[in-house]
Amino acid sequence: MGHPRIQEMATFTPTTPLDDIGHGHKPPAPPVGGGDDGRGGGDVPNYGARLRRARLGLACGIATVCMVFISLTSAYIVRQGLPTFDGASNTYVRDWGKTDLPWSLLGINTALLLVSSVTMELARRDAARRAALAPLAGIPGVSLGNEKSFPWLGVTVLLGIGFLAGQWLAWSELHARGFYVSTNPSSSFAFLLTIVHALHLTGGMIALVWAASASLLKKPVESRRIVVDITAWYWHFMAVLWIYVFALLGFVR
Amino acid sequence: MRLCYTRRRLLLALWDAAIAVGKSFAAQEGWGMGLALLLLIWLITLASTYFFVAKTWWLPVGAAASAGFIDRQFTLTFIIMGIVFLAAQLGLGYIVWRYRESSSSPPVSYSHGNTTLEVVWTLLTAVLFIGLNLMGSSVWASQRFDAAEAGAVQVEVTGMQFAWYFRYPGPDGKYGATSPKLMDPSAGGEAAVGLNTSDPAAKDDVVTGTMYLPVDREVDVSLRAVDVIHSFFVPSLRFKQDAVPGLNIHMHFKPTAIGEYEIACAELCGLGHYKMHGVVHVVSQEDFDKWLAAREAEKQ
Amino acid sequence: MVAMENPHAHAPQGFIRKYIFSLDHKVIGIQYFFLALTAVFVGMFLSLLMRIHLVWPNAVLPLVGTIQPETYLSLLTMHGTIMVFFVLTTAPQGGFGNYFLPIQIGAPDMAFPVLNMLSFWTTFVGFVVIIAAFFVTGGAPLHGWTGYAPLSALPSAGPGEGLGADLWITSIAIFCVASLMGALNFITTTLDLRAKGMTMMRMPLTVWSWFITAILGLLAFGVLLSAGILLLMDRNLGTSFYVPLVVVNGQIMGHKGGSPLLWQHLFWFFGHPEVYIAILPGMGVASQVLSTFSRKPIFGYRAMVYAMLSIGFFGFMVWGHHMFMSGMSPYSAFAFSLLTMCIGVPSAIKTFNWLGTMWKGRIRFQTPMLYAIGFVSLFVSGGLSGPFLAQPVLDIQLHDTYFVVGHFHLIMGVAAIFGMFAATYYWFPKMFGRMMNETWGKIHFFLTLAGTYAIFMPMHYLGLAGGTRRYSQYTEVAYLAKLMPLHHFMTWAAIITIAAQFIFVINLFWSMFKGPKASDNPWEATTLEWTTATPPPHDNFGGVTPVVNHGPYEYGVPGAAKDYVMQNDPAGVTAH
Repeated sequence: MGHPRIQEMATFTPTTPLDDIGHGHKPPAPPVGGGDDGRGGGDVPNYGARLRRARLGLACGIATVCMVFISLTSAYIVRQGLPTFDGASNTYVRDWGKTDLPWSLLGINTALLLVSSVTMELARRDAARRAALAPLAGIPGVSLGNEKSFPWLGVTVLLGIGFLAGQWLAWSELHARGFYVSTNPSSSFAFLLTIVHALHLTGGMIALVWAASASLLKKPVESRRIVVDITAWYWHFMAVLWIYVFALLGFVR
Repeated sequence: MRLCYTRRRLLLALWDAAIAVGKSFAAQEGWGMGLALLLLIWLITLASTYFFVAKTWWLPVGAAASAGFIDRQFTLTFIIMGIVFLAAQLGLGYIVWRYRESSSSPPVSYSHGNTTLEVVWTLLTAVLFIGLNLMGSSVWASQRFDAAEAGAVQVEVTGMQFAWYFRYPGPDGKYGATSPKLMDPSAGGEAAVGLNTSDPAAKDDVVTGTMYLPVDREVDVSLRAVDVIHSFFVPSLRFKQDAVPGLNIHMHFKPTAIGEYEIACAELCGLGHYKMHGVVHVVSQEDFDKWLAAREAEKQ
Repeated sequence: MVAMENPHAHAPQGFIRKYIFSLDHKVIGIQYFFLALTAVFVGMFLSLLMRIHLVWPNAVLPLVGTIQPETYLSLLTMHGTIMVFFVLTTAPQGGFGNYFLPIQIGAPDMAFPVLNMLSFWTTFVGFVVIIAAFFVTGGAPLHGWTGYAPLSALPSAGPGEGLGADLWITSIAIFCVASLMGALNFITTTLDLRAKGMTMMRMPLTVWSWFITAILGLLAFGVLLSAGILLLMDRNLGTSFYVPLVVVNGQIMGHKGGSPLLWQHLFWFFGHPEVYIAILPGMGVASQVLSTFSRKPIFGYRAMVYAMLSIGFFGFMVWGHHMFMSGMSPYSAFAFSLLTMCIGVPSAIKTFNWLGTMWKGRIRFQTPMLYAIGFVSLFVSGGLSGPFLAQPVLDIQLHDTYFVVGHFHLIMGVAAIFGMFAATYYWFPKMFGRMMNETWGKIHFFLTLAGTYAIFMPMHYLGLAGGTRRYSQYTEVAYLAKLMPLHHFMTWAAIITIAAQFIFVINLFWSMFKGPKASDNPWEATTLEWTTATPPPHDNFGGVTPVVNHGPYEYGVPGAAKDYVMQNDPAGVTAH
């Protein structure tokens, strides 16, 4: 029985020989590629896949926050550079103004945030270690010491609170110096950028607090590890973002 | 009045045909659906094309120097897009009818595509689209990249909710200072644009609500807006430019035919956007000089 | 939100968990679908009022009385905003994407079900907020869906620009957050939850379209959010991001130095990808349906994928083509124009490939196919007016005229909607277990195709003649008043076409309860949703993990047992 000739095959892909379509009753080739949806075997959740998935989701979220700050930066640069027409003098004038930022206070806040990033990273590694050891706890005769490790998460929370308090002080100081949101474009952006960053950081703080208290909620240690891991990466991103905002306000005046 | 026998037979035949079409219409198989699609798509295509070709509603007659080129570029784009439109739509209608499934249609031609064809039509489309674009760019360049010719008539066009004001700088060729504090739209004229009458350069500035221009002479327009974005659009002069608060936008054009041309605001500016219109009077050079002199005289 | 435990372990009990705060992507998809259906009827009603006002300004209508001139602009603004956000960005992506993305890739649910539920309810809150704008003092804003500053930034610039405008901005900001949550979910799910054998190049084109749309959304909505925040600050905190020194009605406003163009740049940086967000899922559905009902593989699968990727990529580089007349640098206009012409190329490739799919196929004319064919026709019509607008020198004449309105309505307002109709008729059997009525579906199709062409094709003529847009009356300018006969024609076409949409709604609801029961695979299609029960069980595949051996469009394979080979068919494996 003749088979019709297969015409032009898939664009950019090789031609499939007829035999492989199963005519010769060859066993089908095993599936190539594709994913593993993390269902794992039976009831055991695949934590490795879940971690990967959560990190991927976080990467998407970080991309979005980056776009917010990229657009704010673009607005910053445009607003700083674009002049407007003044009919009285028939010329273009700029009105960026300046803002007297409390640099030493902001410097302290930066240090707090950077240290908190270090403590956060230590917490993350600690959680990873515990999660890696968790399966061993089921082996009879093996006892994981229940030693309490250093409460890095708690320290991070405190440092985060310290940062936010410091920012609050910085805003009050700006008010004391006569700079409000609407004083001039420079002060508008100074408040805008720092407040938007602080709001995002607060979101991270809430996740941190939840991660810290998750240990009390009797969730499996691997699940807790995922939460701590994601929060940690987000926290590092917040630190990098802060450095960026700091540099923008400091150097692009 | 009874219809004659032939007419009755004809009507009955038409009715039967309509029923048959209707039946095969709803059926999965049959020529009805494919044909109906072909007919509808072809009808829509040909009807739309007719009105474009017949220019039933078309660009107003061009009265500016750039109109010749702009209109030619329009026509070229129309012809090319028109050919593509007809080919694609008529082709779609044909394919849909020709390859309808029926008991007698051949097996499908199993194919995942054709690389050569893909490359060819991609390149052709790219060349066509980009070529068209590059052809139009020279007039854009001359209108927008270059400044106005020397000796151009200066006019400042100011848009505000909801009227246009025109200011001529007068013999000194300089626009006087304006100030927001002096703006009073209800007073019209100089007060509407906030002219600072104590500025010496403002003494000879003429502010009117109608625009007069001399024919065959380049016009250097300065566009300003007082409150929100407006847009100065004169279809016959092939001219449009947004008037943006905070900016003073220079643009130039050259009217080439005497006449009166309507201005329509072309950027949503509030409640009165629809009635923010004016008129451009293009007159001979001497009529323009006379008009301007009369306005100057009124100022004394 | 991280999935802390497997939410698929048990199907939820209780009305609230099952239907209100469900975590099941299928329920959430249907919730999005009905939200969009509500929004589209609101939007259509607004446009009906607009068209009636234009030709019969003094008509006294039931429920609304006489439409005031100031109301017209509010209707226009809300029509655009509701349609673009709550219909075109909601139904194709949130509705069908949510329902079918996981199933088509062989997953039991989205990656983050809780986030999914939150994104729907956030969208819902956004909708409530924007509807609220109608009912506050001053009413809904009148600055157009594009909200150009300073008009949108000055409460005294017009009625509705007070609280109504603040609510409008807030609603959009809420929508941004909801979309971002959804985008995150879609991307993670597509990359990480595909079943064994489901390589990227074996994914149905619908999945590709939802995936690329999600990437566009992820990168674009953040910019809109920033733009909105700056606008809210200008309106309420006395800043001057967008507003220079202006005088409204003789009153000097307290702003200085801002740039209206800044709003336009930020808005259109979002706005252009947004229109691709609106159309890409429709393209995916068109590809899916055309292939299924031509009984042929899609012509040039890889080219289709690369075309969608290029459309997405170039989509971020062309925003300036909305700003040729804005006072932006003419040099940038030239650059944007060239890039815009480039983006026409992948769109053309897709059209050729759709025609190539039907060529030498065996076309079946059930209603989903009719809509897919209509989609191609409308995409061609709407798309070909693009090269006119993309040339700045022609845009001088056409910007802000009805030519633009006709262009984007044919693409977004009709082609994208036809994509949704095709998706609805196609997937209704799988979603609700019953078939929609074919005869009424066909009648709906023919009336809608003819009707929408009748409404939107004349807009091109109007625009060529200089017919400006967003005018609440065409009586004041002589050359515009002469164009009123076209407006009359379009209004009648609109009335008839809108009436015809009730056929669809009645068919939809009637069939949900009384339609003939559907089999698992009524269209003899190949993708994974047709391998499972109708409607699908809670975990989509009834405990069986699908394994994929074939590409998504293996129709008419020579020598195969049937004229279609399902993706998970174990017999034989295709090379791609």
